[in-house]
Amino acid sequence: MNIERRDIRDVTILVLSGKLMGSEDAAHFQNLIKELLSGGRKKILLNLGNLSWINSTGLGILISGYSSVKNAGGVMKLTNVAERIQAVFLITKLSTVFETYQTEDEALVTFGG
Amino acid sequence: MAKTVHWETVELAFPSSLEYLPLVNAVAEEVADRLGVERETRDAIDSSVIEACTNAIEHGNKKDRTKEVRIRFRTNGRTIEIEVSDQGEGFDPAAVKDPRRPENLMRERGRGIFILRAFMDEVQFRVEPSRGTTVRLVKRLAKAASGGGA
Repeated sequence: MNIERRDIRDVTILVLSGKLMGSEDAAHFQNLIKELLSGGRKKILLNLGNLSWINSTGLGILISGYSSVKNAGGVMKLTNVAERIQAVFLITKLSTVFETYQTEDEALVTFGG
Repeated sequence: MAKTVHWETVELAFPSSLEYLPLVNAVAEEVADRLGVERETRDAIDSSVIEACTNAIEHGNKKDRTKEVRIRFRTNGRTIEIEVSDQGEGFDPAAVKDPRRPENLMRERGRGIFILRAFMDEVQFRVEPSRGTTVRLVKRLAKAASGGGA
């Protein structure tokens, strides 16, 4: 998995691409989240539009990141979730955990000032 | 007169490492594409294959690259049967907790088998303590509408 970072005002957008599936991805993602939180960046938007698929290990990676951000008093939201991945969120009820928007613009306005 | 049902088989064996999952996914997508199934069915097959293989690699063979995972697709055009075998110690599928329950929702693990059961029509485990575990997945196929679909 590759992660591209963009900052728009106080929101950090992380664009995930490739496959989210294993322990190397977990370390990569968690280190980046820690770095953002320690730098005071607590509003995080994950753009999953270029993520081709995810397995249950990958779901665990997202949950771990979500919990880290929430415990630090921050917010993590999702955008551009492909149908195949959205189906997995729905059946596992993770759709009730992750706030999800169709586009970056729609998500950005919900973070507030 | 009884009609002859023709079954086709595709098999793959690979070392127990997650780095082989993209290869497995590519094979699953190709098999599903050849069947001409609708998008939802194709996604269900692809996601289930990835979960079954993740399970075999991580929990069955404990990522021991000297142990193999085998996957076999069999289809007659109306049904697809997928068997994924590992060489691990086996486990009790009945002991798997429902990941949707509030107390389990934020757990980082424990969703793989639930995903298989949600996406496939049949899921059976055959645990042979000295030889490994085989999970058999069955999906009855819905064909995509002609002219392309979603």
